[in-house]
Amino acid sequence: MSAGTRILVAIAGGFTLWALVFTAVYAGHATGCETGWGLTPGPWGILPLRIVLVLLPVTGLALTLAGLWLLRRGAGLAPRLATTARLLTAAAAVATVYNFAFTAILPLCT
Amino acid sequence: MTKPPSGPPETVQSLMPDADPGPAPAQPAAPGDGVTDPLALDAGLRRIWATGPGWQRFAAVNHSVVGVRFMVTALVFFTIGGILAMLIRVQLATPDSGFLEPGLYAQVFTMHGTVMMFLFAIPLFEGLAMYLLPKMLGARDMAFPRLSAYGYWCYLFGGTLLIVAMLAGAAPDGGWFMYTPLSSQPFSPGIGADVWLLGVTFVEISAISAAVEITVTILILRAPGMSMDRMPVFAWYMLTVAAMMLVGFPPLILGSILLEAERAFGLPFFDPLRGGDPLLWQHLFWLFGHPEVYIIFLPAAGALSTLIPVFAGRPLAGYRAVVAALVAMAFLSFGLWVHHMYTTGLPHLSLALFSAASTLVAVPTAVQIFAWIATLAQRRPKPEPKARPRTSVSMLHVFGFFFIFVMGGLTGVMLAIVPFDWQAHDTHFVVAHLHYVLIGGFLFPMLAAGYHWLPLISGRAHDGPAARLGFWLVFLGFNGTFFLMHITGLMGMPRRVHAYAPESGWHWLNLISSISSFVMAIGFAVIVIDLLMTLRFGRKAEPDPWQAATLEWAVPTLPPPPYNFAAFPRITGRADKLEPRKIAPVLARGEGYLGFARHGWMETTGVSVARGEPEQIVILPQQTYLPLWSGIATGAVFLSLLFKVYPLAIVAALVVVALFLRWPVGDHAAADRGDLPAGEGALLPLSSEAPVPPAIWALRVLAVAGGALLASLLFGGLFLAIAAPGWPPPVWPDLPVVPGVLAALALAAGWITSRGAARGDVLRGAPMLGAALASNLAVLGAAGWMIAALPPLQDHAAQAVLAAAMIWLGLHAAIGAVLAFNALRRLRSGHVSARRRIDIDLLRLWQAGLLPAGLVVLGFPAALKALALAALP
Repeated sequence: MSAGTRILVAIAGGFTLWALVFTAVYAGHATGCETGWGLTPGPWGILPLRIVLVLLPVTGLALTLAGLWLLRRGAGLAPRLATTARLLTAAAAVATVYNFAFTAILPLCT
Repeated sequence: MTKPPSGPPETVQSLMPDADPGPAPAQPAAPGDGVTDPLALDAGLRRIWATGPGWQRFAAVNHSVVGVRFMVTALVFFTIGGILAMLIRVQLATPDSGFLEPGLYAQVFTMHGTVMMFLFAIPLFEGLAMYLLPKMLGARDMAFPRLSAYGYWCYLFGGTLLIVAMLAGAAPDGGWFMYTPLSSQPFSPGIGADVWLLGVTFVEISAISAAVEITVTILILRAPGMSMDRMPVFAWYMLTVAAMMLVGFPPLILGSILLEAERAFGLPFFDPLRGGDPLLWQHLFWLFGHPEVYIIFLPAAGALSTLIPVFAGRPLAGYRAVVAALVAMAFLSFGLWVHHMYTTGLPHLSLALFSAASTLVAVPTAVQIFAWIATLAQRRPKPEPKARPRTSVSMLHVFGFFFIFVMGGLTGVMLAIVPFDWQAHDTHFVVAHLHYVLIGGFLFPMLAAGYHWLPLISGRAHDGPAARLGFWLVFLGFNGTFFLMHITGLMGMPRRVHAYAPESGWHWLNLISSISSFVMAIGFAVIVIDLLMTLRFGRKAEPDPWQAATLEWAVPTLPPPPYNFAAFPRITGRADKLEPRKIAPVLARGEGYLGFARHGWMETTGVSVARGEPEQIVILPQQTYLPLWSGIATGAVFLSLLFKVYPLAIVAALVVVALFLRWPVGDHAAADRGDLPAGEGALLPLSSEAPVPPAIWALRVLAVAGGALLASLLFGGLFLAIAAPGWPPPVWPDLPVVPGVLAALALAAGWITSRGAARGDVLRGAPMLGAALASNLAVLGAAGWMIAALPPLQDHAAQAVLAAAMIWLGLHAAIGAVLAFNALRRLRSGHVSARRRIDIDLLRLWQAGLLPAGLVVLGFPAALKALALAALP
């Protein structure tokens, strides 16, 4: 990986994951509600669509935290860029929790 | 010319922060070695870089000239938009006013929003960025000066089209967001909506070209040693903004094309009776429209992050947090678009997603505001630790920004909350909020920036008391105008109404708003007069008058010469902690990189993205009329479309292509030159022989915009399949298999042959290039075959969407064919060799991107059908 690409991935990686999760949750929610997929209660009365909509951000959060762990020693970046990348990745993790917590509790298709 | 300082001569190395005192490396002879006469060097460089007089001004490509043109033109449009605003306020000053009849009033408020957003705000910061970035980064021009000039002409012609249409009484009248179905043909039958769709798209060409230009310039046209972590913070802001433009503008361009196709040819993308959906327009528009707010705010914030430290006398507090905040803002701003659509009946969970993101974006905004306050509040470094920030005219406008923008931000958080938005939606509360955000977040910072960089741009010092009077009139007038709209909005006054009843209770508030708006207008007039007087009679500015610490103030004269720097320094520390007054005379003597005039070439250094190490000598193009002619031909395309003379539009489009094919010329690229001395001991290849020249970067950057356009199109189709009424159509428009398979094979062949042409001996690559050309033509033919096999496109949105996808494929194959033809032509004319292979590499890169994108497009019909059938009620 070139130095420029490494900078791009380190700085934009966390929020790119957030954006992917956002797109997947929004698209998955709309598609599920329109097609009726996953709206029949499964085990413990949980809707499969809700499981998907919760797993997507949980996966994104796990990957974001993994990225934060990889950045703990700077990942070969200049110190100022490394700090910026860590701040951004941590912010993306917080944003993921704040943004998608609703998927676990709100009514799905009303 | 700045006088050299007395005493022992300083070298550019010794003036850098954290400079390494080690011995200078042995240097090969460079053309300027031994020449120390700054006047002779200045004269030599001016001969190469200066724009000619008279008619030759139309051939200008210099970034200072084009940047100033952008800014001045934007201010002219601002004046027009301001006059329209005054008309609105006169109309609303009293109940049941007959000043404007309803239809004209609709044109006026539509044009006011359109002019301010598309013709003023975006071009103004583009112009400022074009003017400043090369100077701030240590370059002699932008990466693609002709693209800057072409973008300017597109902006000027597109904007003029809108204004002329308004004067002719054919202005759009559907609001600046042109919601369907109001803007659809049955409800807006004239050409007003077409003027908006085509005029704005024409102007957007300049926005996309500026985004490419800014991105590539920041990535590779910096002074040697200026690694990314040393860049001035303004460059980080503009890099982020340019990336946002590349992703944010394509949805609007796509939406405009689809709506124009509906209006002109009856393709029913937004017609619910034929499988379309008006909400698709809202999605596409706000996918652009909300990031647009941040696209406008962030350049202004970049200016604030640059000038507040100057007047505070302290470095920017929390540089890293500020950079993190602006990148976070850029991402988050793309997750907010639906907060303009809370009342369209979306499920609660979707509303919650967008409401959360809308409140979240306040956090990085606040981080920047607190960083600026901390910069102003922290103690100065010695020897004046207790000195207070200077209260210049710029700082007055910064104060105005803080006061107004914070209020606008807070009402933004209120509107992000769904239940509140349901109450305030489409009322004057929203009008107040958006003006607090846009005027507070853009206009006041840009006025601060204008006063800050006025000595650089004009060479004139500014210290007139009229500027302070102008500020207070604008500040007080603004608050008097818009604060009251919060109240009228909460009292229920809707937006876009041309009259209200006397018993509504809104009368006095509206009257005070209108009177205040004239106070604000007088304030702007005072500022304009003050600026004109400064330009005419102001005393000559001294070098670096604000004791700033960025490179733009290290130019040899104010205003700067057309070449910016006679030589480039090696940056060894942060590029916002320099001493321009000391650096300027050293650079003016030609000490540093490229401190000479050689062969009449317009040379500047190209560096590696991350570390800023010099990698190439970028030869920029001379002044030329080509951008002007290309702009005129592009204008002919849009005018032909507007007046529905489609054969002429095709001819004009071919002329545009032919003109573009004349762009890649340059005598320096006609033969291998090898590595050349670049000063400071460096031997560098010319950009035409470098492994990754600027043109390759431009294509990579443009691919982002192309990807965003394709993603928007696919999103649009899938959205219709699950959300629009009347899906699936009674008979599904299946595409024939044979041309699809043929297209897939041809895409693969194009990729393989382009790679083959780029490998080994490129001089023997003509057969491969010919095969690549044929492959692209085959894809084009296959796309045409598939479109022809569809049922009438006017019958249902399903076939219209499929046709749009195939047109995308055919268009991109056509561009691939043009690139292959160009590579063949350049190979035959001797402009391609083992070292000079840009033309072939461009084709290879294009085909490598087109293959996966094309396969996605070819798979799209099956996905669309599956989704449409799955969504059957």
